[in-house]
Amino acid sequence: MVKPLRLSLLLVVALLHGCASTDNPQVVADAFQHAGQVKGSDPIHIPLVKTEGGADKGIDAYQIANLKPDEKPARDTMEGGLWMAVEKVEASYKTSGKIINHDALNQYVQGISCRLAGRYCANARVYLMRVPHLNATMMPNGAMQVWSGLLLRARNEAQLAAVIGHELGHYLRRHSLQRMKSTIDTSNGMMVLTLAMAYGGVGNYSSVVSLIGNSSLAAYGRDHEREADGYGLRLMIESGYDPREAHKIWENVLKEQKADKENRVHFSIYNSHPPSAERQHSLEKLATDYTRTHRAGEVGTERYVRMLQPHIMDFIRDEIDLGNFDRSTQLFESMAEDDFFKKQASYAQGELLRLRGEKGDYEKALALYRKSIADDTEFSEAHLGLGMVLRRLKRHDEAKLAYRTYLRQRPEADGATFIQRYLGTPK
Amino acid sequence: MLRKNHFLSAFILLSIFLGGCTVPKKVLVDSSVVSSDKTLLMMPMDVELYEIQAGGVQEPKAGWTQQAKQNLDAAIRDYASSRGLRIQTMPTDLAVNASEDMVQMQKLHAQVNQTIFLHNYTAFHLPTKYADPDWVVGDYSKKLKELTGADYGLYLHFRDSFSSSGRWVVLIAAAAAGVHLPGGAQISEASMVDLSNGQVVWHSRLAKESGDLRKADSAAQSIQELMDNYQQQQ
Repeated sequence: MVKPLRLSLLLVVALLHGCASTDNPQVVADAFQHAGQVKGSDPIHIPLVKTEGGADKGIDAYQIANLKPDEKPARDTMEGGLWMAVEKVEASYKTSGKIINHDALNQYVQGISCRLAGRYCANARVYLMRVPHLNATMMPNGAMQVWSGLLLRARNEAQLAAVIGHELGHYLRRHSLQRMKSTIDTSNGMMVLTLAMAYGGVGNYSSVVSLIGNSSLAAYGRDHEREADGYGLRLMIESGYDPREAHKIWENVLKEQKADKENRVHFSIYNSHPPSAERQHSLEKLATDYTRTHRAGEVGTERYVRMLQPHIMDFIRDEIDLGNFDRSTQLFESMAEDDFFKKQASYAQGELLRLRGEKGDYEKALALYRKSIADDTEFSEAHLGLGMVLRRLKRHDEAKLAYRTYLRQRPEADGATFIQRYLGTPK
Repeated sequence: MLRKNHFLSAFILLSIFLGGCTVPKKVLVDSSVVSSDKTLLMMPMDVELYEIQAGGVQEPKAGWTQQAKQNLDAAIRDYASSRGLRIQTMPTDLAVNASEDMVQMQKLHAQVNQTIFLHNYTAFHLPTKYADPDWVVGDYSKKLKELTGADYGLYLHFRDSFSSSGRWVVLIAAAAAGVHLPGGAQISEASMVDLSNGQVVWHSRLAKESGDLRKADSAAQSIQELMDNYQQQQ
């Protein structure tokens, strides 16, 4: 009884893993090539690639052509059903409590999306959400979420464009439809296997079957991420952005992941993202190869910093509130390497230390607040931080000095009355 | 990056949920206040139809959904005229350019609807809400009354699913092996909100494993079963 069971399980593993490879950097390069047609007029069909064994192989087993501009699926199709389902979700985006209602910033990010999407401009609708994690999402109908945690981490417009281009890749390649089809096929296959095993007398191994099925789906998702990377890079180039910025955002993500001791993200068979190092490497290679023979395009740092300026302190506070000391420290340290937002980054590091309050933290925080003030004496938040820490250290004279500076700069600040009570100057 | 198929997992949860049969009906508040001299404002109807694939994935079907919406809309109008109730259609500008307040009211109603189900239809009774149900969907209802002149808002919510041919094979094969797997099911809910104060004055729920909202007569039957619950109170 044991041997046939093992054999059949091995067979299942072999079958399911044949269709979804786990390490496939070539996908990014292939996608980069065929994405070149996006700005043309014909629908793109992804050619199957001949492998060494002679078999036709491609990551899209369903041979789905890219969406055409303004194309909407027919109501009676599976895709029509998907769009119906997500239209309700999109309606809820508009009134979500997390949406950022700031015309200038919204227009700016939508503008980047339009520059990348070209004739698809009107088909990709960007919703900015105040969520302090690095992410952007795309729904099958072109509704895209961009999270504030991404805006905090992108260091220039080209890096943001890399992520938006990646999301456009998901939309153009209709990855949600592919995924729906493969989810149905996989679950159907798992059901047949479960029944066959039950009838074959090998007992109920449905949990093993679903484990294999789910990991196969996850691997499929990883290939979609790679394909979207290739698209993002190509769209960047065709829209005049420097493609060498794309891999840098992954570089920073990797650094943050490494620093994150409490909540470390391990590579797993369920990971829908390919390991960032592999994606980073693929993007870096393609970009360097391209810029050897072509002009690089723009990075757009100044514009990006100008647009982000009114929001940066909100996004920084959201990040601090996550309470992930190690990861946030890594983020703020790398922010402090650039000239812009340097004072905010030092201040933010000080805040992390002040809130943790372990031995020696207050002294380090003082140094960081002072560094921030050295960059800009009018940076009132740093004076407030200084005041709070000095008060904790019972260095009241210095604390009062810092608080007075803060109140001089921000007389209407929240808590001004409270501070004045401490200062002993009732008004 | 991450493209979470939230709705997929929701379908799976829903299908687990549907295991049972007809749930006992529970009318919230004495709805005798509703009579033929009052008007009912049709709130945007919430309808979704699915096909259950062999492995259990529920695939949303847009064409079926549209057909069901048409059937249900006709059915509720027929029902109202046969019972002497006055139905008022939501003005196009309100329905299409829904204000934020209107959307928030819809969202709140959806939450309240779920809460009523949980605390009045299942074993999770709330001591202060079970005997004396008092659910309110906010102040925008007053504005809606001002804008439309209607007395009550009528919310209708339908979910219907059907087994694909592959699912039938699986159901039969599993049944032969002695295992019961869920097939298609229909869940419908209706509630009436007093627009003058936002209070839910009546709520009705049906769950069944028969019927087909894609067909006009079957949709009419579902409307009748769902709404007669209200009539019985008169």
